[in-house]
Amino acid sequence: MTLSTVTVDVLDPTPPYEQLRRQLADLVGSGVLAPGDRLPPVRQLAADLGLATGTVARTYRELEQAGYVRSRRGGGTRVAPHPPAAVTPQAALEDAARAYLERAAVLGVSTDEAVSVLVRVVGR
Amino acid sequence: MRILVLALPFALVATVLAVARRHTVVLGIAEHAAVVDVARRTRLSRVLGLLGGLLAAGLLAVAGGQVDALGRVSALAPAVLGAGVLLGTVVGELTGHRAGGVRRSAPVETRRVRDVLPRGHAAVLGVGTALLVGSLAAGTAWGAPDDLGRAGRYFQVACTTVVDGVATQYGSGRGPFPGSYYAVPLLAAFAVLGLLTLLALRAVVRRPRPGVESLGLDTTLRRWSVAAVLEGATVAVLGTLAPVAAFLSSGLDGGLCGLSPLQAAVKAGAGVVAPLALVGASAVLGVLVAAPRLRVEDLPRPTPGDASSVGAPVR
Repeated sequence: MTLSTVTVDVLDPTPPYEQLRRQLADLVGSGVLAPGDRLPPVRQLAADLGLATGTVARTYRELEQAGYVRSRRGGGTRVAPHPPAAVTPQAALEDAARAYLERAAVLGVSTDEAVSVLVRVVGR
Repeated sequence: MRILVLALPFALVATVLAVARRHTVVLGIAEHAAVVDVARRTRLSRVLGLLGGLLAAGLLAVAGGQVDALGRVSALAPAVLGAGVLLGTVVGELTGHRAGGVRRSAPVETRRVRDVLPRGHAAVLGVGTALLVGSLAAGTAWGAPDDLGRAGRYFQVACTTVVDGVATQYGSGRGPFPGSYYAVPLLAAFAVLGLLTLLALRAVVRRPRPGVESLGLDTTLRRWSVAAVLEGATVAVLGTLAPVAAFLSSGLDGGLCGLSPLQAAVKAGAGVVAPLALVGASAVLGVLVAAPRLRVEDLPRPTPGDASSVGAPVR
């Protein structure tokens, strides 16, 4: 069985809860996580990622407010029966590209240079 | 108790066989380093727990007689041994791994005990627990005070028989008998052990993943840990069941009055269960001592397609 994974970069200027929220929203929106699928318990995901439980709890809260998941006491957090319209791969990539450029800006790297780094990495 | 002494050689053979069948997974020198580290920590902690449990159980078995000459303290020795294994497992799992680094990944999964539960181990533990509780329940139901009035320490019968045409009152008592005198402290100890088992299983499942590149190996490690938890509990249950069943079988003696059909059936059943439980406890202890392990090769493996394996002899 192939498991989906989420990754948090602690040097990324995007807060960890937002990094998680984006990735989980993508997984739900693209159908990788189907309606009714259970998300990891907050404590488990927080321990796996070395984050505070409050960080993961905030991610889940925001996903719930956006209609992606439903939380039930004792029943965990599950993907909602009708999550928001699917995110296209194109939109997800644009989101990731924006995050990449934000990170480059924080590191003092210009947009052109960031693009050339990307081209260089692809060419390897 | 004679039947238990006769079963001892079989118990020894079972232990040796279990140790001889040790399972080892071999890894390359740089493979799955984080999981190897977790495996070492959890194993060390569990072995220390086992040694501590063995020491404490030995002390209880030997010195317990000085605290309570009637064996109530010594009877807790197998439970203490199991508790040592469980505590060692909990400590090992809680200190096993902490996520760190700049980029941290985690699988989107819900880890449950039942996903890594070895069914055979669980079945043996379930059957053993049912037999132990059943034996103690039967002992409590049929137990009577001994000659000094200690409730639930004797099995007594009384009836009227005809001897030489004269109706005569007949009564006899036999002990030690696993009545409430022994059952209450044992059941209390096993209630604590049950909670400790649940705590240990939860600790195994909740231990953070050491990395998404080693999911399969990490799951195997969890399965081994859950097996060790169940084995620790099983040693305690079977190690207690053996003497309880032996005393239940020997204590159920009706003399001239005879036994009810149910008592006779329990006596026969307990006589079979006692040696089986002793052999089972020894075998499971052997499996626990020879738990499966990861072994790291000290030389890198030759890469596939290499004409010769310079510096890394093929073994």
